[in-house]
Parts: sequence; C-alpha cells; structure tokens
Amino acid sequence: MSVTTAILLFLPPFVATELIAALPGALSAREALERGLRNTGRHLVLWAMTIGVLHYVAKWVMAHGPLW
Amino acid sequence: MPPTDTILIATWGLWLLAAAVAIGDPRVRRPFLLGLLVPGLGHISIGEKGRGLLVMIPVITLFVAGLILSDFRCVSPFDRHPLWGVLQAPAAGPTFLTWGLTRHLTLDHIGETYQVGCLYVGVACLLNLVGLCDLRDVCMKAARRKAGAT
Repeated sequence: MSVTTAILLFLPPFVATELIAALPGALSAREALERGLRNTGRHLVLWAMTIGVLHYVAKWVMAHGPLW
Repeated sequence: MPPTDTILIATWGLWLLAAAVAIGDPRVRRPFLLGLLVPGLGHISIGEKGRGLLVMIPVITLFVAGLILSDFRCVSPFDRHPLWGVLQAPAAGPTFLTWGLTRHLTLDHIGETYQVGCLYVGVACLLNLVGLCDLRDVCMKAARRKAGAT
C-alpha cells in the first residue's frame, strides 16, 4: 500500500470523528457541523505539521545515527 | 481463563450495564433503542433531524466502506472477531444484521485493506456511541425543559 493510499484511507474516519465529536455541547446541528468542519481543517494542519516534523527528524536520525 | 476472555467478558458486561441504565430511564428508552438499532434514528424520532443526519450519514458511510474494504468479513462478534466485536457492539443493529447476513463467509485470505476495513467499522460503531451519549443529553435537556414549563 502506498503512502498516498494510506493517507487517503485515513481521511474518512478522521472527518467523521471530527463531525460527530462536535455534536455534544452544540446547540444545533448547524453549529455542530460548522464546528466539526472548522476542527477538521485545524486538526488536519496540526496533523500534517506533526507528520512533516517527524519525517524530517526520522531522515536526520537515519543520516546521522541516533542522538545518544 | 485467558486474559483475552476476561477483557471480552468485562467489556460486554460494561456495554450491557450502560445499555440497561439508559433503557431503564423512561425519558431516554425509546430514542436510545432506535439509535442503537439504526444510527441517528433516535435523534430523528425526537424531532432532531439535523443531529440525526449528522450521526447517520458518517456512521453508515464508514460502516459500509469498512465492509467493502474487508470483503464483508470483518463483522463477526462471536466467532471470527470477538475482540473487534466488542468495539462493534455500540451499533448493535447494523452489527448484528451484518453478522447474520455474512455468517456463511469464511476468512480464506486477508487482503491488503482488510485491517483498514476492520478499523473503519470499529470507528463507525464507536462514533455511534458518541451519538448515543449526545442523544441522552438532548433527551434529558428536553425533559428538564418540559418539567420547568409545567
């Protein structure tokens, strides 16, 4: 399985989780939907940044050996 | 008793206890049972159509996608996959319906996306649990409002 396929397969449960997790506490379905979509975007950016940083740390360690 | 069996029995016991507590409350009983049978239907039955669709569409889409990815073999709470079955219990209706319809299938080979399919169905069923918790909140708020109005 390629990395692109793995990332694409990860997205549907991620979006569904964000949408439904926004329900408790929301006063209406519209508010939950808006909050869920906003959180999806926000958390996707955080997730991509984390994966990106980990990717470069892993590459650095592979090139230079472990830090200890 | 193997530790896996202990975990299985404890988790099924926990689900049954939680369901008994919810069903025991007459304010929640009918919508809770509907939501357990068809994700989102409990919300729709109390007039919360938007919330119901917000639960129903993602849960059913993920559930069906997971079944397709795993060749319709990932739902089997008591024989093929008892551990995944624990996660699938909160969407009892779709889980037991699928189990009944796919009981004759055997797990001859594990495809590339099989585990992803199991994960999709597990996530869908656990998301229905979040939907059921929200349903309980909505029912309790409506009951409090009604009690305050009279």
